[in-house]
Amino acid sequence: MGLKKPDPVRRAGQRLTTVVMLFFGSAFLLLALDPRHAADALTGYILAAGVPLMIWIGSALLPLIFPVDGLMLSLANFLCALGVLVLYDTNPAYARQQVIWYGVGIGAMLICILAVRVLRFGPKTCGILALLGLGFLVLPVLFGKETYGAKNWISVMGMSLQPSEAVKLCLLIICARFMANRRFWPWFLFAAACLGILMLQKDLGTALLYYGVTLLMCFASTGSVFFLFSGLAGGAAAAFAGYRMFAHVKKRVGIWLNPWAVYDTFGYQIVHALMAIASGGLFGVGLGLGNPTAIPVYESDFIFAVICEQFGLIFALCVMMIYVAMIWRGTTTAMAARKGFHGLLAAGATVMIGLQAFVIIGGVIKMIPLTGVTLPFVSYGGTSLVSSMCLVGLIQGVESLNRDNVKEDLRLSYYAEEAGL
Amino acid sequence: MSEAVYEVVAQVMRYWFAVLSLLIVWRSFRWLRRDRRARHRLLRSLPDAGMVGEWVVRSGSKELPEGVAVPVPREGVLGDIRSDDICIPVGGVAHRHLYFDFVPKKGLRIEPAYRQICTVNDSPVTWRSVRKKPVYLHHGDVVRVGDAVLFLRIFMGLEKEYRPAYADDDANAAPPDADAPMSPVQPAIPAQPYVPVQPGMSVQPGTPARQPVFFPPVSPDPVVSEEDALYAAPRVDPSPVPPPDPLYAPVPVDDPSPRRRRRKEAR
Repeated sequence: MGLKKPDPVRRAGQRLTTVVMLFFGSAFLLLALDPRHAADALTGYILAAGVPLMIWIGSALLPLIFPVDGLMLSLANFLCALGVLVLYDTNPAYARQQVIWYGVGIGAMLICILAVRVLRFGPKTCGILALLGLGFLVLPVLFGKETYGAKNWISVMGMSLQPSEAVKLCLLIICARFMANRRFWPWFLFAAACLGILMLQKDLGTALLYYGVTLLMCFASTGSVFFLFSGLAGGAAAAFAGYRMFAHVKKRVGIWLNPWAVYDTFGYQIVHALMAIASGGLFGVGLGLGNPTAIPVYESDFIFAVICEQFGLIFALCVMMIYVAMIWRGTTTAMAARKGFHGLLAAGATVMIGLQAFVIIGGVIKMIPLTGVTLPFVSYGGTSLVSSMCLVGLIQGVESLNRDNVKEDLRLSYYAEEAGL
Repeated sequence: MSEAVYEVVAQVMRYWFAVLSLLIVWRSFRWLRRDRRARHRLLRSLPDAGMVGEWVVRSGSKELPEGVAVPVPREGVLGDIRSDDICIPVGGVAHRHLYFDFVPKKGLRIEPAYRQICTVNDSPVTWRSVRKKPVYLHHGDVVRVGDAVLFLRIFMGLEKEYRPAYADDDANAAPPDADAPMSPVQPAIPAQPYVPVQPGMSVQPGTPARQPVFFPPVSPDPVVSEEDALYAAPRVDPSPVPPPDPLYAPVPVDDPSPRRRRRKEAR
């Protein structure tokens, strides 16, 4: 009868969106019925209806208007909604703020998609970005306040902002442009300046991210194993130097090696996180049960421990697999890019998301020493959420250009066939 | 709801959330796999995807004989090692001899690597000279890199629509919807093996090593615009089988000025 055969890729997307909507609808409904949230039940019901609706709008409607990648957006939406869910469970006020930042993040993501499609990011633009980036990064050193041993926050109109989260976008763009143009010194000097300023702020977790991303982008652009190993050796040497120079680094390494010896002082946070993960078991203690607020900074750095406690290890593994899926998609996008700049941009954004997730999850489960970075998309924090959405926007921008290139190839092949060639 | 009832409900629901999370992961990877397969299927039917032209070897080596056409990607590096985007295993070519990238409406921009040199239409181009003035290659330019002589064909930048007059039915056919979901298409051009010219082989005019893809302008105006000159798209009789263009015929090795001869023949 001429019915169009359903596109299997689109069908897979619709089924994923349905399952995600079902998950969050039932989760928020359960929390709304929680007697602890009886005073705030209306927020729970609104979220039970609103979050699945936002997921549906983002996954089904937005791709019709904007050149977004449905899969990447679905995965990012899942993680953002998971963050809102966990925050609503522990502190509803945080959840409300996180929803607002999520809206801002969607807008920023769309702007990044358009920027990648429209702007060339030539050397002059990158020069301006470099100056702006360094200027932002210096602000906490001059006007910032020290929190948890690092001076990387500034207060603007009552809001706390972390400039290093915004400057990492500048780092990606500048490194991608100058590496694609095979100009060594511009990106090297900018990256070195950023690292120097981060060392002054004592924000060693972000410095580790910047260093790792720059090194891997350099390897992606040159293919030089010598550079890679030299960089790793240099990083190890810098880490050792940091251990000898900074007292709080020594403390963190000591806590990582044996937190039980100082469980009631410095090791309190990691010990409670480990106990929470263990008490969750395979399926968790149940949403709304347990005692997640006993973990210090549960809403930001240790939100993964809260997820393990509430939902269990199986769910936590699934969250890690979601990050793996995002990395896979980002890597595929980078490899399919036709221009070196776009490929490096997508690769850098992918590595940034993956490395950040690995560093914080590794720190929470005591695989590596703890650093002060957030879990992308999930942790409470406006700047972190917006910058993570911007990274996804950069990847989606490159993916949309890849799709345009394939459409162009199809069109050209049609004309070649018409010409009998 | 009382706390005791909520506790029971929450502990039952945790299995539900575990199952849904596994389903979400499974669906995500299924989507990834299906998208990857669809993309691979599509790209297999577009052998020239991502290529902007080809270098035809006029003078090469045993590993790269004359007449071979090497596809040119949008950007990359030309050298004599396999990891380069274009591998020219000929004497005198450095490991990373020349960088190139395609600039729409301008041509193929080249930049010799540090302390390397090449010639474009018998004019030397060095890494210093391109910093002062970029060099753009056009269709038909001859480049000498080391001992290799390469002739450039460009088929990128095909904004002109070609509708042959003989195919009345097809003349009104609309091109495929650009926004339609990607679906596998039949190969547009049957795959043709490379036919390198072997020593002693008689070269028949009009039997190019590989059929070029070129698109003549729709306008009958004989004045060739700058863009058309850039891509050197000659006018072609709208016959079912376009006649072979002497511009693309393989050149005998000992011909002193092949380009001049071909231009004369084309006129």
